[in-house]
Amino acid sequence: MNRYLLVLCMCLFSCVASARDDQVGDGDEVILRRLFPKARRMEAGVDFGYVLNPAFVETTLVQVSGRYFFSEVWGVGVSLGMAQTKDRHERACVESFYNDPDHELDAVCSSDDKSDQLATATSANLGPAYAPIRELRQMFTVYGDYTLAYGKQILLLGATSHFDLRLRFGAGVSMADVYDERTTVRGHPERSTRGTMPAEGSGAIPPGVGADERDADGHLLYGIEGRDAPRRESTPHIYLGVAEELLLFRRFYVEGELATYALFGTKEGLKAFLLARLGMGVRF
Amino acid sequence: MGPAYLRAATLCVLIGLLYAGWQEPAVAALEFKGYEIRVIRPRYVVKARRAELGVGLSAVMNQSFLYSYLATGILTWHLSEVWAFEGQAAFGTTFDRDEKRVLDDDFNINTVILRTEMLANGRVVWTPSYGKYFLTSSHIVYFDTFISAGAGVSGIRYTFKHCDEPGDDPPSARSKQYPTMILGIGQRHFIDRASSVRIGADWQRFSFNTADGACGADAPGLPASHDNIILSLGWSRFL
Repeated sequence: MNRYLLVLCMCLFSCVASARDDQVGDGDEVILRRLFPKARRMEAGVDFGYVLNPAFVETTLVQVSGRYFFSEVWGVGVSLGMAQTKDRHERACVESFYNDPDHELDAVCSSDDKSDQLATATSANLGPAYAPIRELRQMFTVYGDYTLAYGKQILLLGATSHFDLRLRFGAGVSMADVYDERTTVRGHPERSTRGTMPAEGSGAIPPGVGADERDADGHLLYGIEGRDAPRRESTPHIYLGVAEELLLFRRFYVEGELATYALFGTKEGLKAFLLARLGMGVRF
Repeated sequence: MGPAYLRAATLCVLIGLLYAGWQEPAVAALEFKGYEIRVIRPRYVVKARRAELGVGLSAVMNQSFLYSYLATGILTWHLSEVWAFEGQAAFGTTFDRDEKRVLDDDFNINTVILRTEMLANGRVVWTPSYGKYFLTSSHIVYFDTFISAGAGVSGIRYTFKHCDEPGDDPPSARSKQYPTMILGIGQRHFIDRASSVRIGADWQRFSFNTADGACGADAPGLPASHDNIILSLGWSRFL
């Protein structure tokens, strides 16, 4: 959570840093008159995002959005995002982690192991860890759009561009597939997946599963096949973003945004996602 | 394309667009009827042949199980308005994320983690763009945008907490320095003619050997590389 706040603070701080305009050499009128007015106009666009902070999954987001501006400063918008996730290496590894008390195996998990050492190991087996994971699916958001700044810049003394700097804030609903934490073998709550091996003859159930051990349906008890089915959960979220919209040809724009979606009411409490987005659209 | 590359590319493209801006012909400025075309020049701050001294906070953004924050010092010598040499040094610490705590507490899983605790590098800085923006508070802020490339070292801390099996004889915690190459982008937002707020993003890649974090002294090692994506916020003073 700390790093989301850090990024937002960085963006906000850079936005509100103000210069002494009494020393400005070329006057403020040169950017007072806008080349790209937006009062009483609409914008529609599509953007592509990447969620920066999940530990176990890669999440990409496609979003369509529309905005209406009451003035040069204020507007409202709606957005609908569709997310796709894929597993990171970290998830594949912990869900196929080894119990290896005697260090018989070179690799720590099956997904990293290209050898067949497990087949000949005497005390090692698989001890998958199913950590709590939330995979975003859809996000619907209504937000206010506040134009912090309108500016222009020159590149290599030869070309200029105009831009808006925006602060966006709102709320909405997020839908996600939630995988709950599980420390036991699927379908066998009496069997732990991880732990120390009991002494021989103690009668205690050893932790972990075998490499070829399957459930009644023929699915492996570790890795992707060993997961529980996720449950679909809808939760409210708060949205806060800083965007820069680069204006071109009076009618079009390209924008980048750093945003955070803070989901509340989840089992973990407050769950925040930090997004980087790029998009384009039209003003009409 | 691995996840780290994907993250680096996404961030670089995003920040590149944010900072560099879309170009359009300079003739567009002519459309300010009744005003001079001298829209941005002269520069608000002259940097040539001046030193810039800065401090800041850097955060490594792309770690699955850690937060890393580093206090950063910056010294820059501006050869001209466009080119400069810069040195940076950063020291900091790391904090475990909830995901790591869950793996440790509930599953007894500890793995090798590369904890970035020190950075030192030198770089060439190119400043191709400058501009200004008008805040709704009626203030004008001048800024410039720079791109940098360089090399240095990354200091990585190994705690060996993953060496917790019976019979393990882990080394004591230690730090190793690895050669690092750097690409960066950033902006200075001028508070006045002598100081600025700096924001920046770096992609830093270092090479290391996996044996450095292994539990046994005779563990086999493999060469590997690791990417850090670092965001920074700071303040600088022109001398």
